[in-house]
Formats: sequence, structure tokens, C-alpha cells
Amino acid sequence: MARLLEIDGLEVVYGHGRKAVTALQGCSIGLDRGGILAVVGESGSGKSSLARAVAGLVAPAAGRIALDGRDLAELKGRAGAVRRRAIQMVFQDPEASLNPHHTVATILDEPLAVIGLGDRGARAARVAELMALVHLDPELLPRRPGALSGGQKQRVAIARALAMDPALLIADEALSALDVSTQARVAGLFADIRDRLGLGVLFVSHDMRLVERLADTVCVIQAGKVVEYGPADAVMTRPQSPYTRLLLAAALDPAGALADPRRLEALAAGAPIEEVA
Amino acid sequence: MTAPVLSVEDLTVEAVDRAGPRPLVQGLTLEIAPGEILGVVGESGSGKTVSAFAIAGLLPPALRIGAGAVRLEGARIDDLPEPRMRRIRGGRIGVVFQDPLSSFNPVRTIGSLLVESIRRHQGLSAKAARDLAVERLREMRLPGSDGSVDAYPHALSGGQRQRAMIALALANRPALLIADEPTTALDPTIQLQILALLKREVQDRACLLITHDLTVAAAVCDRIAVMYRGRVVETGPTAALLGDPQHDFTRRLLETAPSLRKGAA
Repeated sequence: MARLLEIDGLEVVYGHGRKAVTALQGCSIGLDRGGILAVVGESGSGKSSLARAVAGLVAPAAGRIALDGRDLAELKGRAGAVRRRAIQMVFQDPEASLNPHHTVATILDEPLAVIGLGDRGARAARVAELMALVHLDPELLPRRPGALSGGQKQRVAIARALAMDPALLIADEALSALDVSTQARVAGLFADIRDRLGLGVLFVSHDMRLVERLADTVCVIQAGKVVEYGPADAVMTRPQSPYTRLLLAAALDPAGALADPRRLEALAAGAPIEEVA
Repeated sequence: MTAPVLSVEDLTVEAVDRAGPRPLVQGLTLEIAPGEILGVVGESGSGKTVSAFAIAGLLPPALRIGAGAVRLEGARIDDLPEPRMRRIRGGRIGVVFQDPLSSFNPVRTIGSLLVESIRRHQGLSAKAARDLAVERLREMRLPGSDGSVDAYPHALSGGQRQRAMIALALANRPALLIADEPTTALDPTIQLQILALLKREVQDRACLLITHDLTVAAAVCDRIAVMYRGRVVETGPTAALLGDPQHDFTRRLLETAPSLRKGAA
């Protein structure tokens, strides 16, 4: 059976001619149903370009993205649109991605109406189901996003993504704007959804701590290239790439990295961490 | 024992609206000695940033100090009129915010902000102030022989902007540096550089570091105070607090930071 997501030699380029910027090149990774693949990297590394290409928001300059063995580039017309629903995305800032004038009920009903799911009654039942899936109290349905906490808003955004019954959920820094303890709970929700619905999660994050807790496969991207790709256990405990080791040290153990006075002085003076370690 | 640079006694900060005063910070008491970094750790809404703003005299109009006292180098500053407070801020107190892009004026060069601050607080000539600005920026390792003195904020990277912000906060050699989430918007490797810079620049000043990230606090702070729902629920030397957390909330924070747990075990 084909893998849920198979990416082969993906390249993303912005702009044309001499001004063209290659954001991602030669990226080949895959994800199975029920798996959580973390894509890790710093700002500008190309990790969001990868997520956007999979979501169909940017067209690849080269390479192939296949869902269940079908090349996304070949999905056209109505059948393609239906197929594309299998990929849904949750963004970083629920403040910006939820319409502030709509109630939670409307936000969740809208996608169901768009795909023409049943009558009002059937849609209301599905909305209730979605609320339960993300552990939100149905009493919140008449509220607008402004009256929700950050964690609740992100749960609504996740519920909306799940409304399409996706096979692949892309979370692009979906937990970054949340408090640490809210983060932990919403991270738990991703794991829970994965277990219950058996979908694949592409988890884009710069936060090594969340990745450590959540992912079963990790892909590290530096300057547009995959520098490490493997099972999360191996990547976190025995990273092969020097860059992964630096990222782990900086994120998980800054105290250790700053303990040596000479290293502290060099870092303070702006030496790149690669040269200090 | 050396006299503390900053001492806060039983400080209450309240929001005042139609419903009457509502406390956001209650009974905040802390001291920071010269050369010491105190971390205040908590989640959004815990009162940590409001506390920092109250200390720096930056509370928005809807908030006020309800009770208590703030002393800087022994003298009360919480009851000063704004013109006098403005002389202290930028002079004896330097402040670094989370996002330098939104806290810098986009149409002013980094150098012009530094020159203005140096002239206001030290009364130097324009020429002398510019020379000092270049020196301060170069100490922060901003690029170029002139330390990017004529650069606009948008032309600098996130890490460089934060270096410029720290240069501005330290321009007049303050006794107290307040840093509110100074590395939250930065990538981990750049975060590490800025934390190293803060630690190096503390020297004999007092530093109040506000952060939601216990790992960050653990990396640079001598002592940590944990805030929860407007109150300090736990405070102590960093190693002791991490090694034997007393409050449930501190334990929950520690659970999200695996490497600290390992270190403490």
C-alpha cells in the first residue's frame, strides 16, 4: 500500500530569473497514516515552504508530492478539489485564522455547508461531534472567537480542519502562540486525534521540546535542505548531523551551553553557535 | 550584605474599570542585588509583565499601583510624577521588550534613538553622543565599523535588532535592566547568543528577566520567582527551585522542560 504522504525531490522557488530564491530543494520524506512527522528548522529554513507546498498553497518548482500514491499535481477539476479536502491545515495564529464576527457554531458549520453535507440538523449533529472531538464544551457554540481563550480558539481551528474528515493534518507552528501548559494540552489533543481518527500529522515547529514529546519521525531542515531525517528517538538521542546537535543543545539545554565562560563570551560576541560548540 | 538595587514591597497592581478595582498583581515582594539576575516566570495573565511595567512606571492608564512601594537604589520611584520617571527610565532603568520591530520607531535609525537617549540623560554634544552610540553598538557586535549606527530597524535581522535594543537599554549604564521576554521571538540558536549577551552585560547591575520559559530562566538566572494568578507562589535560588519545586504550578512547568528534569534528578 502506498504511504499516506510521499514527497520526492521537492523544490520550492519564489520569484523568477535572477531574483529567484530557492526556499527548499531535494526534499524527500514520507508519512504514514497514524504517524506524526515533525519538520524542524529555524526561521527561513524552508519548513513552512514545505508545509505550504503540501497544502497546495505554493506550486513546487520540481519534485513530486503524492497522497495515497496519487500525484497532487495531477489532481484537477472537481474530483481534484474533493481529493484535496483530505489535506487540511491549522495555522499558528487562531486570532487571524478565525473570523471574529462569526460564532463558533457558524465557523464549524460553514465548511460542512460548502461541501453540501446534509440538512441543518445533520450539520448540527456533526458540529456537536467535532466539538466533542476537540474537547470543547458545546456551551461555547454561540460565542465569538474574542470570547475564547487562546487554547480554545486553536481547538476551534483544529475542529474546523477536522470537519473535512482529512487524512492528513498539517499543523504549521500551531502551538507556538500558546502558553506552555496550554501547549501541552493541545499537543495532547493532536496525539489523541491521531489515535482516534488514524490520520497523519505533519507537525511543523521550531520547538524541540514539543517535537520530543509528540513526533515519531523527525526531519530537520537547514537552509532549504534536509540535514537529518529519521525516527524521533534516534534523532533526539543520537543526532547524526552537527546542526541537529546544535539545535538540540540550544533548545533543550541552554544552561549547559552557557556554562562555560569562554563559550558564553564567544556567543555574546555574536559567534555563530556552529563555531562555538 | 550589599544593599539591593531594586526592592519591591507588597506591591499591588489593579485594573480600574466600571466594576471598580480588580487586582492583577497582589503582594509582590522582591529584591535584586547588584550583579544578580532574577527571573520572573509565569504564563500570560500571571501578572509578570504587569509587574515589570509597574516597576518601570510604564503602566497603561487603565492600570494603577494600588498599594506597596518600589525602591531603586534606596529611593522610592513608584510615586514619582511622569517627567521625573522619564529621567529614570533610560537612565537608571533600561528596558528590553520582546519584539524590537514593533517597539522601534520604523522611520528612525538605530543611531538616532541612541543619540537622543544619550544626550537626554548625559547631556553630551551631538558629536560626542554619536561617538558613544557607535561604541555601544560595536560592544553589542552590530555589523560594520560604525556598528550599523545609520541602519533602520527593518534592515537588521531579529537577533541584530535585539542587540540594538539591548544597546539602547544599556546606553546610559543603568543600575537596573528589565528584560521582558527578550528572546521569545528568536530562533533557539540566536536566543542562546542573546542570553549570553545579557549574562555578560549584567556585570554589577541588577537584572529582572521576565519569561514564560523556565528553560530560559534556568540558563541565566541566579534566582527564580514563579508567578501564578497575580502572586509569587514560589521563589528561590535557581538550582534549589528546580531541584525541589514546592508548588504544583512549578512542577507542571518543569514537566514541559525535560532537560531541566534530567538536570535536577
